[in-house]
Amino acid sequence: MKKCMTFILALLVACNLPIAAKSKKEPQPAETEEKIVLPKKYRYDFHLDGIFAFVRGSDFAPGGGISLGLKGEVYGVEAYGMTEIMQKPGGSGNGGNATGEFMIEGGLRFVWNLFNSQRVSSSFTLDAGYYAQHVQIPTVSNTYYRMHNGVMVRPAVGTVLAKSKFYQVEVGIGYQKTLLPAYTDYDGVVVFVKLF
Amino acid sequence: MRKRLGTLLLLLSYVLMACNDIDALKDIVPTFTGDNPNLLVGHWQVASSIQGIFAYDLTLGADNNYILIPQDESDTVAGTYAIAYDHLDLLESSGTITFSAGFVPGGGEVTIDFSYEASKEKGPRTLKLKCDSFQNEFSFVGR
Repeated sequence: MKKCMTFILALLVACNLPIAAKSKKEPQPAETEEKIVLPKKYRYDFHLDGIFAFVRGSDFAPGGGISLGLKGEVYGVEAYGMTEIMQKPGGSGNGGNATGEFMIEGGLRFVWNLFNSQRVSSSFTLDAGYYAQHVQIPTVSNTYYRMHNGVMVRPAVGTVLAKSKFYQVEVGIGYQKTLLPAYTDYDGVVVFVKLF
Repeated sequence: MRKRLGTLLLLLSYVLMACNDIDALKDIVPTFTGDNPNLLVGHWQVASSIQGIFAYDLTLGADNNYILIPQDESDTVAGTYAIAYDHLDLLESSGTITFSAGFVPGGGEVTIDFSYEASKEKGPRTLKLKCDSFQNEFSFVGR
């Protein structure tokens, strides 16, 4: 009995000796000169857009829209929806051809940040979406007919002028172009103001 | 159980009241459609060589009925018409128009090519109808 106890005690002591003990710590990784930098997190980006377009040459068309997406340090992508209301339906101010006209559009907006400082930041955006013209003719009231529709692309440059915790103000200018099929009446310059 | 039944009846009554309101809203909420609009509706005339006298007087109604009155006003033709566009634009359209009673009394159905032009400032201007037996340019009179 004493021999067994002595053997057991000796065994316990031997297990705790650093020579026999296995290291309980994880092996440390070898230090490298280059540190792996994880990309900063993308943040959700939401905008209310106010738009002023000049269609059919010089016809004024105000509108608005919303956009929601992800924005990073350099790139971003948003889904947007917008509408433009033609102040001269059918190109005429007297309603001879149409008594109401508006355009709705939805698609994706790709954002490239060009310049970023504490005060201002500029970005290039490219909208690619589907547009549809809706027209109300003089002989049928309260009915909008979908006529020209197709692909709309809108390259633009915007600059954030004011930024705070709860809102930001961005102004920009661009050019909208219809494709597939082309409807040149809707091609023109667009000026926009984005809030939040 | 009674409470549930009462709540259900209350909800049902709200739904029924809302259905009545929906009928009233139909006049306010616009209708959106993908159908082609009828741009040709109106009163059209072909001027004759005599001032103040028309060679043809054509009325295209919004209900797809038409009346064609020749110069002597003796052979009025009435029937229905249908339009098929091959190019549709508010200012310039073209396609075919089918008249159920043709252009003469007792005439049969005839399909004729048309081209429609409008100006931005003045609205509808001309309607050209062209086929083998009938070729005229109508000027817009009014709606």
